[in-house]
Amino acid sequence: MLVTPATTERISSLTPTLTPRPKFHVTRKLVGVAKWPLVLLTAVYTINVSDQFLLSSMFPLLKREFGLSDTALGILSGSYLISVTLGTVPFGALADRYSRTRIIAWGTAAWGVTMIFTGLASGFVMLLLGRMVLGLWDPCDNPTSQSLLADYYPVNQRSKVMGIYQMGQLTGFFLLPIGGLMGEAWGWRATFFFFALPAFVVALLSWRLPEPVRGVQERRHQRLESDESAVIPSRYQSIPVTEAYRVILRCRSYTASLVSSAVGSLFFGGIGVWTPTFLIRYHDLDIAEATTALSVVAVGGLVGVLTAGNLADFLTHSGYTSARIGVAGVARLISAPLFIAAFLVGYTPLMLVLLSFGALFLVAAIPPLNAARVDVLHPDLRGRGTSLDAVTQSLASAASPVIYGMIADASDLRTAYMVLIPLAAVAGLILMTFALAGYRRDEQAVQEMVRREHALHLAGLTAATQVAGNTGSLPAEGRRPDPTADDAGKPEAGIEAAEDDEPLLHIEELDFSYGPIQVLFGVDMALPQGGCHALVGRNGVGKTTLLANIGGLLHAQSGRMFFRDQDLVGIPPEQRAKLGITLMAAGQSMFGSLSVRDNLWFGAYPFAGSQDLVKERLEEVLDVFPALGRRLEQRAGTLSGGEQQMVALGRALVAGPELLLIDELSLGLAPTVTAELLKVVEDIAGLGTTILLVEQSIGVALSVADTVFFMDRGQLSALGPAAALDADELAHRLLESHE
Amino acid sequence: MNSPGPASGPPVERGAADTLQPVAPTPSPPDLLEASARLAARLLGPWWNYRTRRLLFGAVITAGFVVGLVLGLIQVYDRPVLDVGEPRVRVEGLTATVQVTVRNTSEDVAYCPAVGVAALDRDGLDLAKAPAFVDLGDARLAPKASANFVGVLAGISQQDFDEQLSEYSAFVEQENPCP
Repeated sequence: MLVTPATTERISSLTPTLTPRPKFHVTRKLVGVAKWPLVLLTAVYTINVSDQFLLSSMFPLLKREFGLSDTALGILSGSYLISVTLGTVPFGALADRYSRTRIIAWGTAAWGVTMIFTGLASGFVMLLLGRMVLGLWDPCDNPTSQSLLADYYPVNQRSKVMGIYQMGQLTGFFLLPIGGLMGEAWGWRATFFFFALPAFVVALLSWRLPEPVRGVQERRHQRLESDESAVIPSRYQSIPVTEAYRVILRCRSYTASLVSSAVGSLFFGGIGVWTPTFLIRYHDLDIAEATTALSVVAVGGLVGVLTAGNLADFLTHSGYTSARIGVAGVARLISAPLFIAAFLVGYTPLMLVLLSFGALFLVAAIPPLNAARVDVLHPDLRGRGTSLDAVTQSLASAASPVIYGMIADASDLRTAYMVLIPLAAVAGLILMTFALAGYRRDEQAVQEMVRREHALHLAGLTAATQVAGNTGSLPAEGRRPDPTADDAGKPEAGIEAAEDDEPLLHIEELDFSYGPIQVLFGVDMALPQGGCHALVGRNGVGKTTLLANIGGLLHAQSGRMFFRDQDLVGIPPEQRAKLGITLMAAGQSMFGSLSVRDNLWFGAYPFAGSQDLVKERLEEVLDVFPALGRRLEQRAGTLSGGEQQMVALGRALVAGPELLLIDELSLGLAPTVTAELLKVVEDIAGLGTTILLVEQSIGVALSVADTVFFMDRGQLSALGPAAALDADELAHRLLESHE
Repeated sequence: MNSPGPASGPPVERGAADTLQPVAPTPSPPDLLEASARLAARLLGPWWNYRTRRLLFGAVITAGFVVGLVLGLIQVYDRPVLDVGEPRVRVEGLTATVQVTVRNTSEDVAYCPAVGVAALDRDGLDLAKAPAFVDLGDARLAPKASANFVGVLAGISQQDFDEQLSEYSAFVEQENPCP
């Protein structure tokens, strides 16, 4: 006897409802097609930023060749910045109306051509012309990219995505020394020619990017049912430019964030220019040390953008609905006293530490603020909204060094900092008051607008289909129907359940490929809570792949998956275990070189913080499998096949899973051993754990399962209650699918 | 914001990836953008389709990359005939004496160059600039010959010297082949 007969009573404390679920920060990987556009758009941003400052590192070389005066060099820099500002607004308008991937592709290609033209300059006029035209192309990426990112990536990951994108700006700064070294070694012309080359590469790659449908992530966020590739018209697609800006500025939280950014820029726009001078004047550093110290501070900024995005998304997900604005506002507020302390202390290392933390909080505000700005703007207005913000910030940043200089001339540089640093706090206060007050309403208004447009779109389709004789009903307001409801708008492999019963696991249109080989094709599944459900199908049809997707070992290229209301997309497997999903893989799903005890300990991973709880649960599991209790110190690999499956099942049981995924329990086992293990599986299901059992043996599946799913060539269908199924008929169906 | 979110892989906008035409099917009131797009479409007529746009883009990318690479490599190998060495600086008070070696790499042409030295701030702008002269002999640089040029930089303010001065630079203002 492998297992104890009276298991039900003994394993009661292992029931999912009695199992404490640890609170933790759900993090998400960017999955599917998601990563590549973000990497590419960040690279485009990096290249553009590196170019903005390339010219100044070429000044000595240009002066030597053309005998330019400092005024002429100043004109080159100034004209470029004016061109960038002039180009930003039209590109924002273009981004809202035309294919954004094409805008970036053509804009970046034109940028590369202009770089080559500039490298061929034979005199000041040609150089000036080149720089001005270059400035016009430069803003092709920022408003366009932010609009694209909002449609590429889920709403609940928007801050994180904006944080990664913002890294492009910081990495662009780090590329600057490369330009200087190339100029010294090969001359300024070669530098311009070589800097043009990556532009052509990213332009080509941008051309190949898919153009996402505007607002599709808002539709997905609200789980609106429709053909997602359909372009849904909105009134903003056809309004004049001036009217569009009026609409944008009427959005209270957007306008507040715009003012906040402008006020903040008046402070931090001059930091890069004046801080080296401050370090020289007040800390007796030489110029090389001061410049190096400033680059150390930039590292603080890098940490800021990477952490703030995640934090804002986490808080948003935890129920703090305005967390994006809140994180940005608090970060700005915290940065102010840190900067004040930094510019008051006399001890240089302490000053640099304070400066780094100040920069961390200052920059940390950018990703969540960018995400919030996108949240409150209609998908058809985001390009213009982002460009307006960029222009405002540029103008304020340009004025900032002048204001510093004026105050420093009138008093001294430290006073200038003391006067201007509070502007960071003012920027934070604006966010925490005006923006925070309006954000939720504005964000919901955008969601509502998308929902209405969607409903109108569906109503139009309904009318069209009714004219064509199709009387299929569509859901009110376009909301995705309850997949368990009788009148669900689409066929779905769900087990019929009471209308108020939410499925424990809900999968929609899941596609998965191993490289070029697609294995899962639009899998839909509504797995009811409780009971044992079998997934049958012949070898190689995708059963294990589906389980691995649910367990988080594999990530689908497209589709949705919800565990209760938790969106599982991107959540790594160890966090799914904490949520209550445990996967028992096929074969000997244990670590052969470890002892039985250590194997069971692995299953207690979600309770790693509570040793007493782990111990208690291990004892409970050993009550279920007394045979294992006598072999706790034995290497698991030396156990018999049945005992190894017991170890695997015990390891799964320790976690007290709500959903237990079992792959091929009977594989390679004697029928008597299988029968005993199945008894345990039934007992586990009896405790309230929902079990999804993958089986090739129809007899085993029907003997233990309440309901049966059938998989064939990567497509899933629900066969219904096991009791109503005929084993021979099912076997016949399996054989048919084999042909 | 805390309701279940969406998944990966946004769908592709039908037709939008292939075109620079407006993605919105609804008619727009005339504005500058629309008018420009219509005018361009009218002028270019049937030639302006997806295929021609793709061809044009491919041509721009290919030509741009090849031209940029070739021109860059030419610049790498096409070095100035007069090679200016690293400047050596002696500072006394606010006055800097900058010495630099200039080498004529030409096989057969002699040069009589005009050489300058400068003190630069951290933006690369001049704080002071002066001509440099050969310290010994004449300024004629025979093929494969070298000469030391010396320039004196004065007039930098104490504040600029402390806060702005980043580096010293030497450069050939004019190559001037000798008659």
